Amino acid sequence: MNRTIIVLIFLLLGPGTARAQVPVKERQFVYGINAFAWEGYVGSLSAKSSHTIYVLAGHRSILSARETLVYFWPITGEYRADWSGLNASVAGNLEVLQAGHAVTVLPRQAYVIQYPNGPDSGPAILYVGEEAERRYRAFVEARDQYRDALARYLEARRRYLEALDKAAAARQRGTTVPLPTAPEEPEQFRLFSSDVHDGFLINLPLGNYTIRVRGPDRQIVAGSQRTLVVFTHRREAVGFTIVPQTRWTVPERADEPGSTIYARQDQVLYFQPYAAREYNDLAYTRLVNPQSAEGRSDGWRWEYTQSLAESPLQLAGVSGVQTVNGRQYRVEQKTGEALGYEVIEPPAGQTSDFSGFKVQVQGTLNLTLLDTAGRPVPGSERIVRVPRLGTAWPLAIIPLLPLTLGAAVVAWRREQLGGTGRPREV
Amino acid sequence: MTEPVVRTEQLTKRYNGLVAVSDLEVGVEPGEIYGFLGPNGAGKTTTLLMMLGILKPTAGRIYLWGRPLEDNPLAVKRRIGVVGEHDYIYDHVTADEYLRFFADLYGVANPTARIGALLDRLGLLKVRTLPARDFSRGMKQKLSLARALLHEPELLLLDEPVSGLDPHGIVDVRRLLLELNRNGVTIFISSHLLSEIEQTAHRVGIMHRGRLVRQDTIPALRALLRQDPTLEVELQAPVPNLDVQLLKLPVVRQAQTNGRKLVVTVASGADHRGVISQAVAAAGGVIVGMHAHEPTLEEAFLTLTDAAVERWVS
Amino acid sequence: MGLVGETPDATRIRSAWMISGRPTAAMVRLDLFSTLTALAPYAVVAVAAALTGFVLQNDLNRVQEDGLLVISDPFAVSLYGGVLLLSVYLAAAAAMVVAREREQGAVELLSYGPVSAFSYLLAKFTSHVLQYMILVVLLLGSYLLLAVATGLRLRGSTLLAMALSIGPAAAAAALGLLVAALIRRVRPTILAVLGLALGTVGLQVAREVLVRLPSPEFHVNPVQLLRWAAVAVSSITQWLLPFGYVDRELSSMLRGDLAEAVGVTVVAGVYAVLVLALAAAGLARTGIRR
Repeated sequence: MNRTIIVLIFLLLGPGTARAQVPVKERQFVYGINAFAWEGYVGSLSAKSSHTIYVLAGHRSILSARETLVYFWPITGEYRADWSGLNASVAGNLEVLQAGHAVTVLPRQAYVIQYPNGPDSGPAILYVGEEAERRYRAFVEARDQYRDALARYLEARRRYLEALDKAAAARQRGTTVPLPTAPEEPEQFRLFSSDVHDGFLINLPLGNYTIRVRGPDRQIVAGSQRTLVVFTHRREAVGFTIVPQTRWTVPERADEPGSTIYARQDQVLYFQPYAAREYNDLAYTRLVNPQSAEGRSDGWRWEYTQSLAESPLQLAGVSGVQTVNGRQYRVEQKTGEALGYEVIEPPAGQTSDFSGFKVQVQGTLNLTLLDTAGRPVPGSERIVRVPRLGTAWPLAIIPLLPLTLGAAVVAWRREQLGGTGRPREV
Repeated sequence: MTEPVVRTEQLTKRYNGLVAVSDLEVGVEPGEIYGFLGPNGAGKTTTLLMMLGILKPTAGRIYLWGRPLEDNPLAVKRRIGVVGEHDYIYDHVTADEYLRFFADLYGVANPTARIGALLDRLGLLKVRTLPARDFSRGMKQKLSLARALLHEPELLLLDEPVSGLDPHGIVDVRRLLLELNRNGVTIFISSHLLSEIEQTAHRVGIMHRGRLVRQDTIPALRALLRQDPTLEVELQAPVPNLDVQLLKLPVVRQAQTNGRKLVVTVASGADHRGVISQAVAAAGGVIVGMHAHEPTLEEAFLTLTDAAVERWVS
Repeated sequence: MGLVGETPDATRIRSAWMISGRPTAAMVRLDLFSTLTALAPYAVVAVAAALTGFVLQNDLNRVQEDGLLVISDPFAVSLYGGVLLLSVYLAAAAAMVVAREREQGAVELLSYGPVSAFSYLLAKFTSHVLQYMILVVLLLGSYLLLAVATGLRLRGSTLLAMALSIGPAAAAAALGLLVAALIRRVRPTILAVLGLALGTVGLQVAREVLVRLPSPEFHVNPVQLLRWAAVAVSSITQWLLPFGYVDRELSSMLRGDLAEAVGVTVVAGVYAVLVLALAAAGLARTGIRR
């Protein structure tokens, strides 16, 4: 019994002890991945041979051969890289094989990823080779120019505020002095850029490949072999993000063509259309993170690729057919309103919170996005319906109908059999 | 010479070393009623099930109408009607529906008329629309018989067909079987009721511990036992020392008196009733009645099976 | 006994019908009559419809509270549960009737006549598949009424999915017959069928849960072992047990992949035929006697 307790204690302490330990870091080869995804380039790590790398066909992605310190992080159950401890580039070319045959050999190239509208607003653009160097230099130059302009602006503003204070004081004394002109703020610098790194540009057709790095010594770099899966979408359609007026912070998505949107009568909905592509759930999940334990091989997911807010939306309902255009909308906080806010079109000079097509639900509506020629865009059809909200008793009665039918059949049969009672001996 | 309807050839069935049937050679001629006798566990039901292809023989073959059973068992079974040892009655149907199902199963033409005729013949017409589960044991047995006869089989295999029937029912069934036999139906009956077999069967096969002890006609079986026939005499009044006086006669083997009753065993080979009558009269007795005691099938059965046991024991 | 001028093929077909086909058809009719005049199948449909009502009411509540619900098919979850429930019922019912009839001596009684182990099981299989079709129609009727009562849309793909579910359901019936053929007694037969059904479903659920749990590789981790085991076993049971076919057919249909759904139905049909043949062999081997 005592022995059992001791064993149990050790077993229970084991995981806890492991978690409390400092992670053991091993120096090893890894691939740093910057894979093209529709939400922007996704950075991830392939630290083990079993970490298959997934990239999209028809889009450029980057694999960087690095040497770093790798450790296992039990809290998330993933391998991580201590880049600050070691981040060395591994020399060599990337061999790409398929079914044992060499397909291509990719050289290392410089690359940079830039976000013209800032790191949180797509799209991201990948530049490689000399253009990467040039773009990065331009970024640095533009950034420095902006910093200088900003510094000048800040100085000008400081002087302006001083002048303003003096003018205000003079006016208080009764002296009329012209007000100084406020300095113009330099246009916000939105461009964001990564540093220039080196990596292998991956832009392969659909298929499964084996990749490995062959070093300058003509040997395969240990730990560099991986499976590379280049996949593509299964379907293309138009997806909608739907913002209900009563809950604008929690939009819904209507990805699947033919999906139905159920709303209350007179509910106001704002539709935001996107071009969408359907990808294998497992592949796309591993695209984002090769170490992810999620994702179903038999599951599919829609990814939005491009906003279609410029296209008109056709609504067909009881009141006829009408076409609406997308607009910008702003959420104004209001007291006294039941919701506490009001969704309006922003006045001139004010920013908007979201854009969309405003639809007031009145009975069943058929929605279709139209292209520039006025034709329906395939995969953009949706139906808005108003369900019967009310008492629940029909839902309780209906399941009893089959039971009632059964009881009637059983009763009929019993009557046919003439009731109980033993027949007289004959 | 016509082929037997049923013929078995060294038919054997073993279960994990236990021999249920051993080297059985049975032949049932067309148009005869064959009685299959044996105590519990003799192998009768096993034999019946092998004839129907439900049990696979360990060795030997079965021929029905001259052809091996395995040639086309389903087609052959359409010519056979069976009342089994434990006949199951579907408990959710009426008697009429029960028979209609089997009529459908066998493809009986004009099922309504046929079912009505059979139910009437077996006295079940009035209860045809009642649930069969509520029938008495006897009524269920009759219903099973009706089922077996639906498709006008050429061969009837019956396992205890009168089980559960009252005397009237037994007589009804016996008459029906005899009538069917007169119309050419071959009947194979397995039964414990030796008296019934005696009244219906042309030939009998006696099973004991998986073996066929004897197969013969009933008179021939009786003849086996008729070594010393017995005369049963009824006297008007008791005669003292009559048995002693009769024993002096050379033809008398045994004599026993019990009041007015006298039982005398005489030598076989001739009719000695006249001699006995004279002897009784000479002794002062008046004979009121006299008849020869015929050995029963039961006696034959018991004798043969005991002999078989003795053979095996020795 | 053929008609004048009847071809030899026609005579053979007629002969085959009289010997095997007609008895099977008779057994099918009796079995179907027996099951449809009992309360159990209607109760199962009622339960499936009640579950649907519960799910739909939840959807309506979401519309009421959130003002919005986006859903491809409001009947998808209910369809899945309903078809699975009916399939499990079918397998259990088929198993129970064979086990009970064998125990009671009905199978022996039938085999006195022109009934073989295969034709008996074929009749049971056919009657249960027909029963399933009838129950699916009843369930569909309930769905239609619920769709009208709620205003939630019943899609054509749902109807098609129900129609195609006959394939996997047939596979379930065949499995029930196989279990009954191999296990002679009623209670162990039912427990075996329910165990297989619940085991399949439970395994799927366990797999879904384990796949989502983090699985550290650094230490010996039971989660990883369990996950590997669950994935490995469910990969096998998905093909070996009919409830996996139900899952795949419905998932394909609900995804809109008609070709795959039809393919799964066809494969399920082949599975049913193979298992039925195994069941007949099993019944012949274990014996039809009680």
